[in-house]
Amino acid sequence: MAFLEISGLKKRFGSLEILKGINLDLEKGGFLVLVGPSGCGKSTLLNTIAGLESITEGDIRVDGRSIADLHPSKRDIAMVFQSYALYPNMTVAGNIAFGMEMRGVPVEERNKAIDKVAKVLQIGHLLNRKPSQLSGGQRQRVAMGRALVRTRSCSCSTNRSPTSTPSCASTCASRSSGCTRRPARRSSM
Amino acid sequence: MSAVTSTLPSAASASRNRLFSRIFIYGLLVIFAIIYLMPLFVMLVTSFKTMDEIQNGNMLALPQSPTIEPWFKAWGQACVGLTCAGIKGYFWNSIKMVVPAVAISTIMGALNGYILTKWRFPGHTLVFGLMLFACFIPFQSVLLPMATILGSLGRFGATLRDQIGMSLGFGNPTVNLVTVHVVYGLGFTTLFFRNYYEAFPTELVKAAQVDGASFFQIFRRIMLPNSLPIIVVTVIYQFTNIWNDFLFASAYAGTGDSMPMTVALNNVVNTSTGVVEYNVNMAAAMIAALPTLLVYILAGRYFVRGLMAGAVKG
Repeated sequence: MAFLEISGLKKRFGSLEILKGINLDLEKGGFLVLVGPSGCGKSTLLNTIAGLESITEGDIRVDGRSIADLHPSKRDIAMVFQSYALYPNMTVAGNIAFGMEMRGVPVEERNKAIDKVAKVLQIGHLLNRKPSQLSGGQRQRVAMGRALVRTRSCSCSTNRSPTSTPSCASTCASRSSGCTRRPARRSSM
Repeated sequence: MSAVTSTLPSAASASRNRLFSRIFIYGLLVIFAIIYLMPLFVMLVTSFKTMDEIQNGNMLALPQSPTIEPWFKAWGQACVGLTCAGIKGYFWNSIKMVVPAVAISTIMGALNGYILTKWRFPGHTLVFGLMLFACFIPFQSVLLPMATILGSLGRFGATLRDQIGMSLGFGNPTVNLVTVHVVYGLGFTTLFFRNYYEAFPTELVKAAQVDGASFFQIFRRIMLPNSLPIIVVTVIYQFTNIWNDFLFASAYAGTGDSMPMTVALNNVVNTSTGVVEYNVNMAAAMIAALPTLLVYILAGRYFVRGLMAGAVKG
């Protein structure tokens, strides 16, 4: 049985059917890249998997468990948004820790996780800065850090332009099962 | 040769034109500034004069022997109705009424704007449209219905007092005024926040949802901290309108000890006994205007521009 199973997934917006019955199997540790023209439903598929959009028909199973009815925060999925969606009023450390804070993780564990992720992504010296004080590539790494810090089953990322350094991306890919590269016009999982 | 003679005059006349238009613009600005500031100048200057100077002298002249006595008199001894204890008590009444009214209407407006834009429900356009009506209601038309409602609330408060010993604020004129101002301010505050949150990136809310934040956690940790500009705008707007309001103040708290500043000032100025003390009246009016001026001076600094820069790419 595959780790991530999508069966017969359909998504309709009113009368417009965007996802017309997606069937997908992804093994544990796998890396999936979705390529397609604008408007074909890549982001919609990722949003339904993450739980930010509801499904019209079909099922999504992670590790045998159906997650189609779960709240996004309960799906054990990390998400990196196209526009990074960093919280402007918090520091980099605060941004990365926000999810853990919401889940009630104690402070020491939070700090340990932040330090680990910061070392991988080489953003340790940026932990006290606000997003507005970062460059584009740094913001991208913070967004990835926020996703990596979740103990998660899978990561979703939509991105459009290659702004992160290739060395960082390959380091990430080697250390996690869901870290993404940033090729143009692709969605990755 | 003809080329030289044709360029020189046009260059000179161009700079002369610029000079004239500049004189014209600045002249117009100065005239309008004088027109707008003249009443304030007269008020200030009159409040520092003695009564002799006012009665014998020119309205616009600077005080010959300036005195701060009228200000002390306005604060502590001016007569409002039958009591001659100055306006300081009524100033405090206004503060007691304005601060809760501004705080409550701002927070509720923020909550409304948040719900209308980030948690859209079927019929949200209609609900927003109906709330917008509140901005266009002439307040005079709701005086009587509101008085009826406040009367019912007052009777409820009396019943409570009989049953449990306290009225919990129902029927208290200050509480009544706060309620009225919250109700009629809600249309404006919802409008301000709804428009601001409409342009607020929804991806931040989605990211917070994925992180597991609840409805109120998102409101408290993400929306409000990034709303400083619109909070400042709303607070200034509400404070100015509620502080300066005379209609509701005189209708619902127009007598007795809970009279706000505006009504008290009106009573001070319209006293029909004795000599009309212009200097005291001017000083009282200046005191009444000070809080709104202060709010502008302090809060203007807090317009945080570029707060959103950096979180959202492009």
